[in-house]
Amino acid sequence: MSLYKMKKKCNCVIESLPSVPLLDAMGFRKGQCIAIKSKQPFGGPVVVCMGNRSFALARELAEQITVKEDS
Amino acid sequence: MKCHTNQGEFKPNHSGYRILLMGNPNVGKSVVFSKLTGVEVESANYTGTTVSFTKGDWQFRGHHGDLIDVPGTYSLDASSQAEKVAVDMMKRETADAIIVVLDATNLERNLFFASQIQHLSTEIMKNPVPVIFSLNMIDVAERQGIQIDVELLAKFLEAPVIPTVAVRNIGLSELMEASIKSIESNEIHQKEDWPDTEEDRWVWVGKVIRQVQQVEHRHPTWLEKLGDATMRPFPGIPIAIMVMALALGIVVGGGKGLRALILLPLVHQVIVPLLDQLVRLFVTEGILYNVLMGEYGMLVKGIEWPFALILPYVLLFYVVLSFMEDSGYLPRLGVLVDGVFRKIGIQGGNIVPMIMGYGCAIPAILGTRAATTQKERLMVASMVAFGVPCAAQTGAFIALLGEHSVLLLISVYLVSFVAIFLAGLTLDRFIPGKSDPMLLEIPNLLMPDRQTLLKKIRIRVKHFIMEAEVPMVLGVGFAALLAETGALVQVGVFLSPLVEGWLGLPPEATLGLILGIIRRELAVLPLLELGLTGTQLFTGAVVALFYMPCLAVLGVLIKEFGAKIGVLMAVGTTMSALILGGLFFQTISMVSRILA
Repeated sequence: MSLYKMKKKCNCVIESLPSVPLLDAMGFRKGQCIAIKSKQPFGGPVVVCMGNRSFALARELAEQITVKEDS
Repeated sequence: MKCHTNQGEFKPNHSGYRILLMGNPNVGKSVVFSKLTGVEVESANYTGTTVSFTKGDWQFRGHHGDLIDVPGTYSLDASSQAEKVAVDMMKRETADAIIVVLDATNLERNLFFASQIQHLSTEIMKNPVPVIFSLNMIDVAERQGIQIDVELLAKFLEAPVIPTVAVRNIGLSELMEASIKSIESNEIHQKEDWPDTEEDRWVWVGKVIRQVQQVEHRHPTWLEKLGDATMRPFPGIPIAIMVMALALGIVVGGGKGLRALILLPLVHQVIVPLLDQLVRLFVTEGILYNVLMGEYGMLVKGIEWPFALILPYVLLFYVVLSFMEDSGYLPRLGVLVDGVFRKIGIQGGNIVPMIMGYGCAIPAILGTRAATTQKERLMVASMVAFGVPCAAQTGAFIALLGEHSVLLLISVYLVSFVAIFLAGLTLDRFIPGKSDPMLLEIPNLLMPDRQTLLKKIRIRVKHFIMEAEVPMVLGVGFAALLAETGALVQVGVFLSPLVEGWLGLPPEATLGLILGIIRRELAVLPLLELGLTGTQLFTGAVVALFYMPCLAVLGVLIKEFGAKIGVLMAVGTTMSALILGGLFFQTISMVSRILA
């Protein structure tokens, strides 16, 4: 499922992600665990937590990242 | 500052050692730089504060050289202006060593960057140089329950790793000692057997992390909980509204208080009478006396305007801005407004240069270098130059409109917001290219360090006084001379169809149009004490708001975007100022005639 469609406050694992150099350099990669912290209104970004850091990802990017819920 | 240079002046260092300071964004490189060189550079708690490199000289136990603060980058792929600068710096091959600053609270990603530097430096640089690591913010990491085995990390990196707390000067001597030792003994610390693919390098990073780092689970602090809350629409948006209202209250309310209770009495009752006595010793009444001490004298308005009317607002604006910058709140605001900003074609992170523009357009325009596309840079710079009043101009608006009616003041700012929004929509349509979607790391919310904060406010206020005082005194002197020689009347007659006919302002307002070229607040201040009606005040304020950027801003626009775009922006904003001001005046007059 795309990251943008995931519920808030949910832990998930990245399954696939677009090839964006900055995403790579920030540490987003396949198999990485992330937690969704919030989703902004008016098509705004999703805020995710990876390790002890938070990142804001635009809707366009979040829609291209597929994740599965971490059980 | 003699030891502070910019990109154009970069030359190889022939004496002493040259050291490059590199690392991820927001790991404290600029703090390390300031501490080692004594050069005052701006730092803040968000990514991209350093947008071009800064050079400073260092001296340490009989050795000397220069240190270059390279913009922070996540990678060395040259995907933004800052990354291009960083890669260029490595290609120049004039450095004797590289100090890589690592953030101990986020070691995993920082290690990936470290591996990239070590790997790339052997590819980019023909003669590899020693790489030394500063493991910074080790105190914050410990508070967060993170323990790092520094010795083991050094073994993995095959290079010296020095734990540091740069803000408190801890470990910096050891860092310099290790750097000099490495340079002099020609120890090229380069791990040679790097995995070829990025994927494999991440695997290596993971392996190192598992062995050198231990994380204890602990409960979030109240500041961490607040940091998270500010990123949720609720209560993030109400908090944002409260923060903005509080900021406005401090700047406007506090500024008015400072002005009325301290600065105006000081200028009128102490400084001006003292100067008057002094001038009378040398000058008898006449043109020269009037130019110096008359009603619009250089030493009367030239002191009253910048110090009593403008300085209080500039000071308090920088107090508020510096606090918001160092606390890490600004990127959170960027996240909340992104949805709205996307409608005008830019991403929410641009709220940072825009808010800086309410202080001064120059750092705002330079700050747009952090943007990843030229379209976005051009749009934000144009919007700031067009419709964002600087702190000095805000002070002038409060002096002009605040006394008459707060509603007028609010209306001018509403006009400004609407104009910025419409300018964004228009520019988005006409400027080719695209803007990148938001991808932003959000720093932890911190209580700013008091000393760093005070130093930053001091540098900014000092800069304002140095930048504003001389042009203001000269501008007022020039105006006084124009008035005394009668030249102003002639210019007034020449411009009367525009000033009186179209804008409905008295002939004296011509002065604002002339002086407004020098500084933006000078487009407003000559309108004081002219006894203008509400409509005239509003028209004058609208003209001043959109009027051409001041000379210093025009210089920066030309330098950043070229002469053609710089001049186009100046002509565009001036034309819109005169057209919009006139339209407002003519419409209000027509409506009142019909109603009467």
